[in-house]
Amino acid sequence: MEKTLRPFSNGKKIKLDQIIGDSDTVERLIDMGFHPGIEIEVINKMVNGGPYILRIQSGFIALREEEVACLKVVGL
Amino acid sequence: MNSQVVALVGSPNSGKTTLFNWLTNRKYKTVNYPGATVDYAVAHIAPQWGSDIEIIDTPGIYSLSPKSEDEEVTYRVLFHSASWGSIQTVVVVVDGTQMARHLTLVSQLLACGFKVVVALTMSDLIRKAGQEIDVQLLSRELACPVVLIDGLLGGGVQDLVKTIDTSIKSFAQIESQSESVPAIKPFFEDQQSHFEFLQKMEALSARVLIDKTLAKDKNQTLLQRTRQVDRWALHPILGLGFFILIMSFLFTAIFFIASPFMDAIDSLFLVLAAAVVSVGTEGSLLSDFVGNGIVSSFGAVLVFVPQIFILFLLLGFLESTGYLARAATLIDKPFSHFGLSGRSFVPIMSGFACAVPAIMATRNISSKRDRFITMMVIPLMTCSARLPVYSLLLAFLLRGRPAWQAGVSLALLYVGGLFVGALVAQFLHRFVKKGKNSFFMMELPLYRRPRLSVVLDSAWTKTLGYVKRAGPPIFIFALLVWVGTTFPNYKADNEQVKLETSYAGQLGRTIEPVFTPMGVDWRVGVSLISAFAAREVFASSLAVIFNVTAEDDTSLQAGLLDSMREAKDARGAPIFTTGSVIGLLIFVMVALQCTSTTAMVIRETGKVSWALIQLIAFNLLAYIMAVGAFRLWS
Ligand SMILES: Nc1nc2c(ncn2[C@@H]2O[C@H](COP(=O)(O)OP(=O)(O)OP(=O)(O)O)[C@@H](O)[C@H]2O)c(=O)[nH]1
Ligand SMILES: [Mg+2]
Repeated sequence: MEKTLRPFSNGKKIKLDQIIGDSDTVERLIDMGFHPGIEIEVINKMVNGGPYILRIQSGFIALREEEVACLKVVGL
Repeated sequence: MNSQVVALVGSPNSGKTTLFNWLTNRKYKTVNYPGATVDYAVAHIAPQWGSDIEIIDTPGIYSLSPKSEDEEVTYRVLFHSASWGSIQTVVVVVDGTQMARHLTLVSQLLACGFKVVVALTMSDLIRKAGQEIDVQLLSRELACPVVLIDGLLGGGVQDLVKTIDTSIKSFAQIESQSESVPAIKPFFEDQQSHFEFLQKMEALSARVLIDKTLAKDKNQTLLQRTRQVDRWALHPILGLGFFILIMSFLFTAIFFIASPFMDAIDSLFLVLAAAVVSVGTEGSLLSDFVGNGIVSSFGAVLVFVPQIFILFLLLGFLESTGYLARAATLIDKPFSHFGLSGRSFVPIMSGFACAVPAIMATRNISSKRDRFITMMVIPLMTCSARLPVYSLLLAFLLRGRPAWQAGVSLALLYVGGLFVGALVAQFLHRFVKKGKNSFFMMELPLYRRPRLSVVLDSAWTKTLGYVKRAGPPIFIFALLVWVGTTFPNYKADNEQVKLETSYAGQLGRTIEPVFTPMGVDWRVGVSLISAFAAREVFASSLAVIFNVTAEDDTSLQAGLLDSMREAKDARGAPIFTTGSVIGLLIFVMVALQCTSTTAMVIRETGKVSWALIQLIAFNLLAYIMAVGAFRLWS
């Protein structure tokens, strides 16, 4: 089942399955190093629908909710 | 023949400008924030490296499809040959700690036909984390030379220069005839092959990183400190609190730290003024000009230079820690209610130093609309040129009161600028139509300990730059205003008569009706108008017009404050009252008295109309608010 990162709590590590959404956003997410199969760690979520802080490899990246929504993961 | 041109290209915050500074002995701004450089810079390599090439620094890019104005700049440097001819050799600057994600650019540029040399920066950080890089393996796999760089100490730069030279020579042999620009190839046929490539690069970077710490996760040691700090700095709730705390500290500290240094400079000018008076013969025009024109006008502004230095210093500290990207993240949601984005934060923040580079910094904002709104509000931020004016007026208003009141009032003025900015942004947010969706996507760099020597050096350079920029207008207006207020009736035995009958006095009377509603007379009006040359000139012109002779005062500033206190208008009422001074503070807070800002807005929006609307609207608003404030307080 496809899921977004929303239900995952801080500290969780999830494998990215697909990147789907607005083409510019998807392109830029790939530029930043996102690709299917990569492990994403959820570091923090700001309150009030603020950005998520994620880690891929050795990089911390802040993404808005709608940007995070492009990242589909496989639910367990 | 021109020497060969080599471009430094790479992901944001990978250390391009740091490397550029090493190569060319320049002092361009380096910031621990992705998106610090927004324009290219060209310079000849410094003689000590024993080469003869031109180096270009470029804004950071993530790929060869630009998504914001600063990335466009790099794209144009690479693919549209400009005055320096086409670029054939590119140094791809890769952050060694982020190799896994940033190596793709190397292959993309190779595929475009560039001769590529990879500079792997942050080698010091990698070593500190107990890791090592197999440079030979990496070089073999990427099919181009790789050089390790330590951006802190300049290690590896000589190696890099040699490698570039070799690379240029071999290139000249192979393709001596063709001067063509490398072609832009679509690099990946489909997304799938792109993904596979990314995986390959990840695997490669894992192979070349030799870990000596025996930790399970290779990244653990490297990321440890950043994780610890971010637990608090990016805490979902406390994070915003820390942010506000840090900002408030910044702007109140300017006042308190600078105070003793300001007193020192003030005394220095007092000695200087006394010396001038004692040397000149009583009543000679020259000693009057030097004493009342030059010394007092420069004194009125230079007294505040310590504040400006402290501002640059504290901003520099904050910039080099890596906190700015976090602040941008924290503020992204709140800013979205005003049509701004987290990416507007750094430009707005640099607006506290000066609006001109700040407006340029908006190139980093991908959405045109966000960028436009940000440009419109930046001039409302309290720039360093406003600082002397605020401080002088606050010193007058709060004389004899406890020092903390002035500090708090200064902070309030900063907040006031932000508040008006928020209103303007909100207004534009309602009326400017929505454009293409924007993205935030911010890389949060690893925290680094600021290096005191670097931060001090850069604050000092900027302060000197400030003085050099403000110097000429202060001098010119000191001359103009002194001549204007001294002639034709310079022999008059009464200072009052001399001033009233002077050229400036006559001219001043015609413009006085405009300033009467603000509660001030023509003398302040002339100062306000001269401030359009540079905001600081307001303070220096006041000093000249109110004829500060510091002979019997304890300090030059005290002399100016005394003269202001005694100043009366034609009907004998005091000019500088609580109401009129608050009005003036508000006027300076809102007014756009800066031609360079307007010129920059024209350049960056590409339209004269918006810059003019901004100019007129802000000055009108400033005037109305000042009049309102005066009414309210009297
Ligand atoms: N420890 C360490 N820090 C470095 C090194 N190179 C650069 N830095 C720091 O990394 C930060 C970014 O460096 P810059 O030279 O501004 O990076 P840039 O590539 O020009 O960044 P943009 O202009 O934003 O694309 C600054 O804080 C530098 O002091 C290095 O080799 N080692
Ligand atoms: Mg740079």
